[in-house]
Amino acid sequence: MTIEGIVLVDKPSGPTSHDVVAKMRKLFNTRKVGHAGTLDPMATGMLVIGVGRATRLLGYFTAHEKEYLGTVCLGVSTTTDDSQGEILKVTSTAQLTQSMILETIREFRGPIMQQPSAVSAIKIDGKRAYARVRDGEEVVIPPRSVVIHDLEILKVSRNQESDTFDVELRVVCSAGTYIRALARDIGSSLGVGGHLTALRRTRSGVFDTMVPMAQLQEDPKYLDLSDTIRKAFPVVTLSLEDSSKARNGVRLPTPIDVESGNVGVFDSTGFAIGIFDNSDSELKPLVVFSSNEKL
Amino acid sequence: MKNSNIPVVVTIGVFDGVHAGHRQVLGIAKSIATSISGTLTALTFDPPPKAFLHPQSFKGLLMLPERKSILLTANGIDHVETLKFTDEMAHMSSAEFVEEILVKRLTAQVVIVGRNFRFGYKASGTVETLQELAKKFGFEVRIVDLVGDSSAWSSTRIRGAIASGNVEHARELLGRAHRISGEVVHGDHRGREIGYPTANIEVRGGLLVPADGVYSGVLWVAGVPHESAISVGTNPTFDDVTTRRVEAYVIGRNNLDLYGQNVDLDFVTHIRDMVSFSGIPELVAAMEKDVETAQVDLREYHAQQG
Repeated sequence: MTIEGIVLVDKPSGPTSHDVVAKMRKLFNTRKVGHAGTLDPMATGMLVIGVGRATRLLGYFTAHEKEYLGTVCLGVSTTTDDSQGEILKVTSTAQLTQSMILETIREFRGPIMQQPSAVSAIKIDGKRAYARVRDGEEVVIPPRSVVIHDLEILKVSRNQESDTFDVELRVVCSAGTYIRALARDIGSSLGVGGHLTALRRTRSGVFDTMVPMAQLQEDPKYLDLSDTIRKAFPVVTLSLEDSSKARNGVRLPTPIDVESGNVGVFDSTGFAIGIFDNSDSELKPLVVFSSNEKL
Repeated sequence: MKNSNIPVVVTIGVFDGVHAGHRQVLGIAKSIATSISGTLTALTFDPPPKAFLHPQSFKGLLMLPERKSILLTANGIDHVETLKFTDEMAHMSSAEFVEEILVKRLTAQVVIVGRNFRFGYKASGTVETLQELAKKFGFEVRIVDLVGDSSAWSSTRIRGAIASGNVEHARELLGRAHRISGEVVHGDHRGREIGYPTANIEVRGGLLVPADGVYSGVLWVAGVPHESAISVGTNPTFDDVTTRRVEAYVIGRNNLDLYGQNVDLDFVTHIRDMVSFSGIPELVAAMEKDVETAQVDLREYHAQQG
């Protein structure tokens, strides 16, 4: 079958984000498939997949804030800051108390400089950082400014046998935040080290309902191009005359009562024209779908 | 327990507030430390030298040392070294400071400071002094030039905003709300009598309390946030009260027992200045309105936070 729009896939633990893209290419029988924001192989949850012309919208979704549920193991640090890496150091957590953990984690809210973990999906000189680690290259990724909008502690439990603490967190953060790095830094703030043992992305911007990957074969639920734009952007509807101007790249004055920023523009028959930047009372084209474009 | 194989990178600063300018220095220091597989130490002072040397003009702390330590580690610092700023410290020469603290105590191999860094007795040491001493003692100095709107990155400016009640501006400059901490103590229970029981907070040592007025904010009790309307002032309506006080009314909660608990209070918006009311009914009417305003402000604040 051929579709055009976005598929909100609930990625299982194991495959890489690219594996999911490859699978969707087969399922929808097109090369034009991409994703907005990599999930590590171990992680599960929301992967926004664009199919057909909707791939052109993915860049706007990558920048969205994300929500995650994660589990941090305090007392053990690893080379990759998750359970895939080798153990670097084990520190007793006997001195830690529940209130120390609460007090410390709370302070991670707000803007922070974050050093990404050694193995990550960031590209350095066009090569993925984890490819460099695999190839035995030394990787230095400069810290980046990220914002932790919300950080909620869902559960704290002590594991007597392994002398560790498990902390379950809900994190709402800016694009580009590494939850593994957050786990490492929380551990380091508490003086015992830490790593991420489970991660699930529950939301990417406005998208918060997803379909398990295995279920997509029988039930390929997706949002078509128009529904995607309506869900993710404020909507502007133009007259047919203005619509053809907009399609031809003419800058039009913004109708009143439209918020500034990126907006989704439709013609009066409900067809999506594209994404426009609404600033200085003018609509400037960012992505324009030509009316006769083939899928 | 120093491992001589791991290079020690040290960045020096007061870091009160850990604002955007501080974070930029920390980020650069972190990338230098990471590139040479070193550990990163932040060398900081308690109290800030300005507070020790000019106590009359110092408005108050943006944060206590314990919180500053956590925020520094949240920003990638491996180790925080807090020096007690004493009379002895104030009289140390630039050379003594470098030899005693940087070389002997911290065994620094790389020292990272901002362009306007000053140190030693009467702040006589500059980055040039530091570079000369570095040659003598055999460590490296990196000077950080900040890029962007550096006027916003001043702890003094942030303190000024808070002291004048502009907690919104402080929130912009800090990237987070200004927070005070303290124990909830017994007040005179007047709030309870008029239907607005408040937590009377004994603010911990040296923290900067915003100008007298009414604010919206968030009261943190055992890690749980509570939307609040805050009054800072001297309760001018009741003329037997003369001390400055911080009281938080947790919106919609008239049965919260917080006595003896350690709480934190974030200041989100300034609602109005303190005024005297002619009587209780007028006061109650004003408080009703304040609580409504606080709810609107806090809703917007939470929406911004996502």
